[in-house]
Amino acid sequence: MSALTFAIFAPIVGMIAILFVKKEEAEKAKTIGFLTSLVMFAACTYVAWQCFHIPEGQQYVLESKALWIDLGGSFQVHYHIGVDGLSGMLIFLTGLLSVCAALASFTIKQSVRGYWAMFLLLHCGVIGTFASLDMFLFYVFWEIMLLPMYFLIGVWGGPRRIYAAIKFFLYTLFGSIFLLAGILIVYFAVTAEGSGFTGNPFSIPDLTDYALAMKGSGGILHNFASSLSWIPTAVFWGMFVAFAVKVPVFPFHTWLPDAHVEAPTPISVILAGILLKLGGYGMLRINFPLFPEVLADSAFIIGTLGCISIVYGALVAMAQTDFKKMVAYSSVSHMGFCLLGFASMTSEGMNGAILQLFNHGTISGMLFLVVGVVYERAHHRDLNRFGGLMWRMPVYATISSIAIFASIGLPGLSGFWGEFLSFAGSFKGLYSGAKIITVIATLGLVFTAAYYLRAIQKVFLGKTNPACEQFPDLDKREFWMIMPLLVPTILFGIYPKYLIEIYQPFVESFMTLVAKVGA
Amino acid sequence: MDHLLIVAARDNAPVDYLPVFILLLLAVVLSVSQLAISWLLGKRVETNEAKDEPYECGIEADGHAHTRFSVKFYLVAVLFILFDIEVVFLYPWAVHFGGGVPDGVVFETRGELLGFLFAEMAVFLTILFLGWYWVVKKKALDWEEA
Amino acid sequence: MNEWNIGLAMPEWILAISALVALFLDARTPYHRKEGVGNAVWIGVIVATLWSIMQGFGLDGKEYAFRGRYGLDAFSVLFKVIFGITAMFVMAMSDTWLKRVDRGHGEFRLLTIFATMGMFFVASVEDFATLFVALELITVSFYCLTAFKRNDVRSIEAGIKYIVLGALASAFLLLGIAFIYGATGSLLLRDLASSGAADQIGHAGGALLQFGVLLTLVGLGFKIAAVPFQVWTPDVYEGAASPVTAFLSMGSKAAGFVLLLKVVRACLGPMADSGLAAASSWGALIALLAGLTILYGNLGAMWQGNLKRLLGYSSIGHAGYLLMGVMAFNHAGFTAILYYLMAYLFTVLGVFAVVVLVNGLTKSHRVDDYAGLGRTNPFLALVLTCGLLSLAGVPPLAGFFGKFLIFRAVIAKGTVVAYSLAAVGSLGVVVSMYYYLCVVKRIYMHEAPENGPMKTISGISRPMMAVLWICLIGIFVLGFFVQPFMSLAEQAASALLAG
Repeated sequence: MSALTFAIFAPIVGMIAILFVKKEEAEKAKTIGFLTSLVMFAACTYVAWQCFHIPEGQQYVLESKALWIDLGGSFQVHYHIGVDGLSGMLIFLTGLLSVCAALASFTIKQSVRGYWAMFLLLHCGVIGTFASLDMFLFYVFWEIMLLPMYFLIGVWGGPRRIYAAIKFFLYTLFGSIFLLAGILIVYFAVTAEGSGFTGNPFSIPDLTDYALAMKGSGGILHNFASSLSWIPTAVFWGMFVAFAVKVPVFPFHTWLPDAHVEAPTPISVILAGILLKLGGYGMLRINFPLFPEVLADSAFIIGTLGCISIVYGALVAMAQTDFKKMVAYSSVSHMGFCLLGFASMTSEGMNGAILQLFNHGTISGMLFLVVGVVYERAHHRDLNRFGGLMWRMPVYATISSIAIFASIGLPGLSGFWGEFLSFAGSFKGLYSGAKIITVIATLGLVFTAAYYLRAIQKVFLGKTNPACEQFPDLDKREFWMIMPLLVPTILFGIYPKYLIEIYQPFVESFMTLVAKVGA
Repeated sequence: MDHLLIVAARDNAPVDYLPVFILLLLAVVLSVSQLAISWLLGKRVETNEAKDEPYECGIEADGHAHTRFSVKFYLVAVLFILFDIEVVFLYPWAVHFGGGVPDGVVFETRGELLGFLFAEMAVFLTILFLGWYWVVKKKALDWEEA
Repeated sequence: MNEWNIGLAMPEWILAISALVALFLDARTPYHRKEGVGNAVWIGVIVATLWSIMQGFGLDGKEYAFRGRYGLDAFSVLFKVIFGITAMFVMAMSDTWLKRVDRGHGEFRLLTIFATMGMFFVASVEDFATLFVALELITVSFYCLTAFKRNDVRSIEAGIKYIVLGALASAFLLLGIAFIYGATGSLLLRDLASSGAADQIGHAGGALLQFGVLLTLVGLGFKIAAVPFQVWTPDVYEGAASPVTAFLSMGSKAAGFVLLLKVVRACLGPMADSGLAAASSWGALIALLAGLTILYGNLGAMWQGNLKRLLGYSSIGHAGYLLMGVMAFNHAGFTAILYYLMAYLFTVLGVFAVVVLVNGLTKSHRVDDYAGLGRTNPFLALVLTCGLLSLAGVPPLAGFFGKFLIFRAVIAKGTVVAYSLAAVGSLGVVVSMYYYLCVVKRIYMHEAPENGPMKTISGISRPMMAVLWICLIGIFVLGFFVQPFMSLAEQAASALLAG
C-alpha cells in the first residue's frame, strides 16, 4: 500500500473506529478524529515531500493502479492514483487544514460521533479526488465529498442550515452531472473506430498525452468532425460548469455565501480552504489539458468571468455587515484571480493562479477561524457591534490583522504572490482584450482593501464596545489551530520558491500543451 | 411445433371470417329490429307515471337506489362464476378425451395421450377441490353464520 | 424443444405444492394460529429460490419444458432469484406488519405466495398464453393485497383503482395478443421473432402485427407504471399496506419489465435489420414515453408530503429510467436494466423495511413524522438514508451504477434522440435528488416534536433485522464490487438476446 492510498483511506479507518464508539463515551470520537487527522497530516506531508523528487521523465509519483470495474471491451475503470507537484501541494494543504479544522471542531457538542465520522469521510473524498488519475474514480470521489458536506452543514450549521445544505448539494450535483456526461462522451469518442487512441479511455495521463498528440488536428474529440463540431466545445463548457460551481465562478456562486454563513467554523475552513480548490484543480487536471484548443478559443470568456468574479465579489463583500459573509464573498473575489491566471495561458499567469490556490487555502482558512473565534465569544458576527478588540485581545487582533493583510495582498505575505503573478500573466495574456480585462480586475484590489480596512477599523480599532469588555484572548487550543496556517502565510510570503518549485514541472508540461495552440 | 394451437392464419382468405360477419349482422339486425318494432307498434305518449319508472316492467320500484346488498350475495356470485367457468373447462377436455385429437400428433400412441389428459385433469381437479374445501371451511357458503 | 421435461419447472412445482399445503392448513386452523401457513409459505419460497440457484449452476444454454412453452436460461434464473429474494424480504416485512392486524393472516400469506408463483412463471414465459395467465396470477393476487386493509378507506380506494385500471390493462394486453396471434398464427414468442414476422413489422402489411405489439406494450405499460398509464401508482402505493407496496414496487414492476423485455426481444427479430430495432419510430416512441415518465415521476414527487406517495411517484421515475434501457434496444441496454433492477431490489426493499417499522410506531407515513429518526433510531435512519441516496443515484451506491449503465447504453446510441433523452434523464436525477434530500433532511436535521410518537423502536424481529442488514450491505456491495453482478447481468442479457 502506497503512502497515497494510506492517506486516502486512513480517514475511513478512523471513521469505522468512530462507528464503534459507544454513545456514552462520545468524547472518544473526538480523540480518534483528532488523532486520525494528525496521521492524515503526516501522510499528506510525506506525499507532498515525494513530489519534490519526481524522477526525470516521469510525471507522477506514488502511482498505483488496480482494475476496479471491468464492463467489458475498453470500459475499464481503474483505481489509478498518483500525485504530481500540483496535487501533492494541494494534498499537503488538505492535511494542514484538516488538523486546524479538527482543533476548531472541539467546540462541537451535538452528535459528536456523527460529526467526526462525516468530517473524516469528507477528507477521504477530498484526498481521493486530488489523487485520482482515472476520470471515473475522480468523479466517484468528487461525489463522495458531497454527502458529508451536506450533513455537516445541514446538521451542525446555523439557523438556515437546511436551506444552505440543500442548495450546496443541488448546485454541485447539477454541475457534476455535466462532468459525468462529459466523461462518457469522451469515452465514446476516443474508443470509437478511427480515433487512433490506444490508451485507457479513462486515464487522465493517457488522455492528456493524446490531447497533446492531437493538438492542431481536432483535439481528442476529432471524431465529431464535421456536423457535430460543436460537441468538443459543449463538453468543455459542461465540464467547466461542473468545476466552476465549486470554484465558484460568478453566475454559479450563489450557494457559497449561504453555505459559508450557515456552516460551523471548521467546516467553513474546509469549504473555503480545500473544496474551492477542487474546482480550480479539476480545471487544471481535466478540463484544460483535455481541450487545450477550446481553452484557447474561450480564454476571453474565462478571463471575463474571472474579472466579474473579482470585482463583483469585492463589491458585494463591501456591502456586508456580517463578518463571515464578507469573508465568504472575498473568497468569490479571490478565486477569480485563478481564472484570470488560467485564461492568460502564460507561464506567469499559471504560476500565479496555482499559488493563489494554495495561498487562498491557508489565508481564507485562517480568516474563517478568526471569525469563528469572535463568534464564539459574541454569538453574533455583526461588524457594527464590535470595536476595540485590539485592546482586549491583542494576540487575536495581531493574528487577525496578519490574515487580513495577507488576504489584501500585502507584499511580504503569501497572498501577494498569487495576485501579483496572476495580474502580471494576465496583462500579457494571449487573447485579445486581456489588458482591458486585467485593468478592470485591478479595481477589485482597491475594493478589497476598502472592505478589509473597514473591517479592521470596526472590529479591532476604536473605542472598545462595552459588550466586548469581557472577551478573553485566544486560549491555547485556538492559538495552535491558527498557527499552522499563519506560518506558511509568512514563510511563503517571504520565500515562495518552495511552492513554485514543487508544481513547476506541472506548469511546464501544461505550457507545452497549450503553447502551440495559442501561438 | 404444437399443432393444437397453430393455425396458418396468413393463408386464410377473408371468406373464412364469414361466420363472424353473419353473427355481427344478426346482432345488428336483432337490436335494430326490436327498436323499430316498438317504435312502429307502440303508442306514443310524451310522459306518464309508468314511463318515469326506472324499469318499465309493471312492478313498482321500492326503496332507495343506493341500498347496500349483503356481501354474501357477491361472495356467492363470485364463487358461482369461479366454479362455473371451471366446469366449462371440463367440456373441451372431455372432447379430447373422447377422441377429438388424432393419434400421433402430440403423442405417439393413444395410451400416452389418455394418460397425459387424465393426469392433467387429476391435477386440475385436486386444485379445484382443495379450493372448494377451503371455501367450505372458511364458511363462505354458510348463509346463516358468515 | 418438444419434450415435456416437467422437472425443469421444479421451483414452480415447489411453490405450487407449498401454496396448496398452506391453503389446506389455512382451512384447518383457527384465526390466530396461522404459524403453520406462514411456515409452509416460507419453506416453499426458500426451497424454490435455492432450487433456482442450483438450476442456474447446472444450466447449459437454454432448456425448454412443456413442449417449448416454458424456457429456462440465465435470464429466467436471475429473475427467479430476484423474485425469490423479493418475496422473502416482503414476507419478513409482512410478518412484522401482520402483528398489527387481527385477521386475515392466512390469506395474506397465501396471496403472497400466489403472486410469487406468478412471478416465477413470468420469468420462464415462452408464449403469450402463459404470459397472460402468469401476469394475471400476479395481478389478481395484488388486487386483493392492495385492498387488504378493508376498514381503511384509502386501501379500498387503492384496490378499486388498481382493479379497474388493471382490468383495462389486461384487456389491452389480451387484445394485443389476439392481434399478434392473428398476424403470425402463433402464440409462441419466438415465432414473433421469426423472419416472417419481422418482415411483417417492416412492411405496411404488418399493420395488424404492429397494432398488436402496440396494444401489448400498452398493457405492459400499465404494469410498469409508464406514462401515460401511470395514474394509479401514487394512490395505490399510498393506500396499500406497506409490505404490499414494497412487493408492488419491486416484484410487480420487475415482472412487468421481464415481460416487456421478452416481447421487445421477440420483436427484435433474428436479423436486427428487419426487426423492431430497425424502425427508428419505435425507438423514438419508447424514448418519448421514457422521457415523459421520468419527468412526470420526478416532478410529481417534489410536492409530496406522504413518503409512500413520494415513493410511488419516484417509482414512476424509475420506470422511466428502465425504459431508457429498453429504448437502447441492445445488449448494453438490457444489461443496464438488469443491473438497475438488482440494485433497485436492495434499495427499495430496504427503504420499505424502514417504512414498515416506523409506521408501526408513528401510525403515519407523513414525511414530517420522520423528523428525529436519526436521533432515535440511528440504524434505521442509516438504512433509509442509504436507500434514498441510492435511489437518487449517488455514487458509489448501488443505484448510481444502475443509472450510470443506463446512461452509458443510451449515450452510446449517439443519436439526437438518445442525447435528448439522456439530457432529460439528467434533469430527472437533479430533481429527484431534491426530494430525496428533503426526506433525509427530516431524518437528520429536524428534531422530533416533544411528546411526539417518535421514539426508539425496539423488538425488531430477526428476519426484519436480516432484511435491513442485507439491504444495507447490498446497497454498498453493488456500488463497489460491480464486477460479479455485472457479469451476471451480462450473461442474463446475452441469454435473453439469444432467444
